[in-house]
Amino acid sequence: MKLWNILSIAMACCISSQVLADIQLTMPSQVKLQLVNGEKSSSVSPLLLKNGQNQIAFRYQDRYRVGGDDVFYSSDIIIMTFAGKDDNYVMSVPKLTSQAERDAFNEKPSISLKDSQSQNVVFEQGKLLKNGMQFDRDLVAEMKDYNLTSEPASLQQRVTIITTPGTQSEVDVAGKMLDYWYQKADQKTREQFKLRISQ
Amino acid sequence: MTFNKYLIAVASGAILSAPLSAATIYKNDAQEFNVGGRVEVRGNLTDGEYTDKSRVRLNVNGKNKLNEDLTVFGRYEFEIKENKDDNEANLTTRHLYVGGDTQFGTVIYGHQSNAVTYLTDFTDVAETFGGYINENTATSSDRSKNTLRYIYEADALTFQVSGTQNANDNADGFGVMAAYKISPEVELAAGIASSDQEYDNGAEKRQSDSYMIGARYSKDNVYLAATGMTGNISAAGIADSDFVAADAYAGYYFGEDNGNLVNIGYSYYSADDIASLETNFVAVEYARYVGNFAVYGSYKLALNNDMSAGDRENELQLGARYGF
Repeated sequence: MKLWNILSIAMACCISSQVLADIQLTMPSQVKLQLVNGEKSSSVSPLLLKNGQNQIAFRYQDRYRVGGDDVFYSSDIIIMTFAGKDDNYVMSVPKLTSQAERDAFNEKPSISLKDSQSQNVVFEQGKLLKNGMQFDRDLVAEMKDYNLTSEPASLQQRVTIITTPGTQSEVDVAGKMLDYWYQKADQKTREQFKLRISQ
Repeated sequence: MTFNKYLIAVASGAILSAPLSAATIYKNDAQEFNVGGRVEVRGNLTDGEYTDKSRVRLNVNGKNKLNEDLTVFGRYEFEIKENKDDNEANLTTRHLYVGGDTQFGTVIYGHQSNAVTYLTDFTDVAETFGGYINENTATSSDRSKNTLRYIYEADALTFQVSGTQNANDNADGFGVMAAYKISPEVELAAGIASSDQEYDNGAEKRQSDSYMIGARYSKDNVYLAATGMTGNISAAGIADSDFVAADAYAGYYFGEDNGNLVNIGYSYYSADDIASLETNFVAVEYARYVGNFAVYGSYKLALNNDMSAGDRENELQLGARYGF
């Protein structure tokens, strides 16, 4: 019992993040995160998320050299809500080569989300907009308000969890973890472990 | 996600990006008001002589959607440079215009880009050296005042026409330009600019015509562009001197956020009878961009007959800029 507890704690310490963060979301460099699941976030890629429904808010930001001048482009804040499980997801956005393309993107952002099998993943998107002065926006509060609405990307909406073929279940992951640590253990520990589970 | 992949994800760590921001002051469903600009320090070394070329630019711009069919907008931008020998500053206007955007195109009047600027900008990308060859007449240059411009964009096509009256040097003239993207990576363009302007402090008024073509290629981290120009150019005491000109640029972005740029450029301008306009140089540059900050170093190698900074003078320029 004691050995099992130690082993469990050791495994929990090592794989707890795995259990809590089973989604890996890779984003292009132009995507600057503002919020992740309602909390402020700096831009990180890949982003590790928990299984299930997730909501991120970001801006498309880039610098362009036009006529020897810098053009700083920053889109409105775009909200993306999607559900996933135990997979690597890749977001992509188009390269915006002209002001017309940048304006069109801001009007109607074209974003794609694919899983590790390169299959399109269903998601909802919206915008987090504030009318008036843009200084000192409280994005956390704005997102809470947004999520009380019936907008498509609001958490009020039910988002279907997409499970792609070949995706591992939690049982699969637990089995792999047991195998992993069993292989790492010395012979004495293995014997004690086998004795423990045979009781 | 396999455990190994998870370990790799954690081990590879977070790619943290510096924030990049433009300043939108006010915005609602119909209106937007922005402030932008730059503070840029620059030092230039030419023939052993150091010159400070620091500058500040500030712009205010806004737009207002009046209805589904019409959005109006305006912009003002000025540049300030300190005088060489005192603390006074010299202010110049770069943009001062108002325009309207409809489904049939965009119309703008004021101090702004010329129609052919869309084409000449293909090679005007380097921080320092390059993008000069179009600056010899009012209607082929990057900007001119008292200019009415019409822009039509549809899918792969961009068409612009502009007319100018009583601009600097009492210039009257026009420009026409059409560009077409034959693929997402490649865009071709052709244009004409004509300027009837004064020389020798108004003692003469002469016409100059420029015929130009351009091409650019952009894919992933690579940007390549070339422009060619020919026609006739005038100067004080000289009318209709034939000229040929070319600009070429190759840039490669790399590193985190593509924040590093190395580029090489070539500029050439030769008029039959105007030695002071001769341009012939190769330039190399490295620039580092981190968020709103840029730092760069540029070196120009003057070739035969180059007069862009005196008689075949090489130049070294270093700069740092905060922009927003």
